Amino acid sequence: MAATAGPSTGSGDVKAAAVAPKVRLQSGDKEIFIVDLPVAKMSKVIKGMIEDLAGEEDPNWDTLEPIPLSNVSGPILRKVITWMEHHYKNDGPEPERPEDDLSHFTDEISDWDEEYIKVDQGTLFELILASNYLNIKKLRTVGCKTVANVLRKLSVEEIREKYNIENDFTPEEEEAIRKENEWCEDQDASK
Amino acid sequence: MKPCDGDESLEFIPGGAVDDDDPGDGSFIRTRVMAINALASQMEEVERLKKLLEQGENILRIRHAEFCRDFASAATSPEEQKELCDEEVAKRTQWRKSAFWWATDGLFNSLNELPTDFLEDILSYVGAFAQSRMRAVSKLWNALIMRPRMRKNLLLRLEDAPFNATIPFSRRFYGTRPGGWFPWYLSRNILTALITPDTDVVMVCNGRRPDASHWERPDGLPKRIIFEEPYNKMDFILGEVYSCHSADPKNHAMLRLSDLIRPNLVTTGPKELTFTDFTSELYGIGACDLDPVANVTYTFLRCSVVHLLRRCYPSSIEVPVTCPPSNFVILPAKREFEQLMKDVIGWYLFRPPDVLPADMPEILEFLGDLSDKRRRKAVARCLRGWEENYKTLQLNAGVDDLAAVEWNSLCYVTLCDLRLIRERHLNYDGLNADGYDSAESDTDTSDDSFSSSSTDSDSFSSSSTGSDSDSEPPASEEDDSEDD
Repeated sequence: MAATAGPSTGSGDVKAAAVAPKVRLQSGDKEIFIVDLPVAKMSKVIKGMIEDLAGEEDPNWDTLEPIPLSNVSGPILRKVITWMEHHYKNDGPEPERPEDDLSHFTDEISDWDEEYIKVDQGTLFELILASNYLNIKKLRTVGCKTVANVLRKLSVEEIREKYNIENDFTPEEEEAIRKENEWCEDQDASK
Repeated sequence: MKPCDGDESLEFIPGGAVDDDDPGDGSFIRTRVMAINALASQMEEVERLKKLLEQGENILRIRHAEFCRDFASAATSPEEQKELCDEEVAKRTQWRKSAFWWATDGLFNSLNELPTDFLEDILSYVGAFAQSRMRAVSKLWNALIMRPRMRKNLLLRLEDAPFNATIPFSRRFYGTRPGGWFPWYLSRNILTALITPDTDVVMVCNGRRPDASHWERPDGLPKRIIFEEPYNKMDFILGEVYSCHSADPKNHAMLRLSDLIRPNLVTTGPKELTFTDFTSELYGIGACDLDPVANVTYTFLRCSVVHLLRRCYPSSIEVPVTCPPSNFVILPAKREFEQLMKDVIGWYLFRPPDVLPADMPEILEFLGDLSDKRRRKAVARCLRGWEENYKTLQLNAGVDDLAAVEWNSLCYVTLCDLRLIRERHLNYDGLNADGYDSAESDTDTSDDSFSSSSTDSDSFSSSSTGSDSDSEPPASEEDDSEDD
């Protein structure tokens, strides 16, 4: 089935979302979630699947098979959907950015996202993986920033211990790197 | 058929008793024989297992004895024994499982098990300074951080920039200079970049007032306060200086200097200046060689001095070169350099709160304590410059809590650092090699007082009368008469 443009409802159109058709998403553990079509399309993977499933004509969304998302568990998918719904309502469509646009490289996380991402590490990493699998860049960024913000507060030794990272440097190599970066040791107040 | 060879019971079965013609009778006996044989084999198995069990029990007894012996030696109290026992249990049950494994519900045993692109993304967001530190975590991290993509990991979009540009910040650039303000070259525009080590924010500005929103952080960190007044004053003063001393302000060192000072003032106010590496004490700076780490200190110091002196010495600047420290060090004891710089800037921008113009004569009297006459004049001119500033620009709105300028300190800063500048002949000869992209620096070097010794020299003494740089310059007649 050829991939074609999906239904006319544009993602980001809040008014349209009120009457938007709903799609069913099936998690890896067979849980079914009914989600507004534009919300679901925030995931590029789901968007692609919808377009594949829909075909060239506007399908009957109620009878359409659930979209299988086998790599995402039910609880994580529920959390991802919560995130998508919030950002769909509040952010509007995400602008297309060129590959070399690095303007998002700040450590800022919105208040809502900060609250949203306050989860245990297992959930956090599952969310990051899910966002990657579903191709939701902004969610992945939020996850990565959250981990980064934790990392920043830790010393090298603490990072190794907390994240079970083996120090594979020889003492000489490690010393050389430390010496090379001596200049930033005192200034890294975030540590 | 002899299914049960060796089985005693078979011996009592008469062969003739089995009547092949009577299938019921024969099958009955055969069934019995098979059952007995099965039972016998089961019994054999049981006996074998019993022996194994006994062996196992023996092993357990030995192990138990060993364990008790270990306990006795390793842990004397019941608490210690319990602790040891818990450790043993933990070791055996969590073998090869890290805390991270448990924390992630078995998702990862180590953060390094994350796909590399994830790890790279995460490291991209930790910020420039933390990245440099984290290179020491492991070889993988080091390799990721050193990848070219990471080099442009921080940037800031300038909404009010004249060009619509998002400026990537090169690691290579700040790798050799540890924070603070730096000149930045882009498409023939001289910009200034700031790395604030506490936030890892890189700010790039072109002399315009940066958008305050860039400093509004939602993470609860202290917000930067915009100080309008110093900013406006700085503009005013600089505008005056430009008009006096340069046909093309862009080519004037003062412009760059304003870039160095102004945005920080705007965002923090003079009391909150947060220059990196300004914790070095004056005494130390004066006594020891500048190492690469001190470059930022040095840069700002130099610029501040130039700024100050150009402001106060509109016609000429001549600086001593080979003054032994003992000749001119008028030590105000050890003093935080940052505070000194605040004072210098405060001196420039604000009237010190406890010094009134009427106090000037008295202050000038203190200059008599200075052993060197020319230096005395220099300070006097400096003071006079401020006084004129005060009169002409009405800079009477001081910052209440700004410390009063200590004249000795001021003199020390000025002269000591001018000495350093000269002696070092501006470390910045090596700037290109250290960090600038050659393409960038090639774009506009003619007006760059930071990137070459000649222009640096110019920035300090370009308007000098050509006296030998090894000797202190003679003061002008006018100055002499004024001071005397």
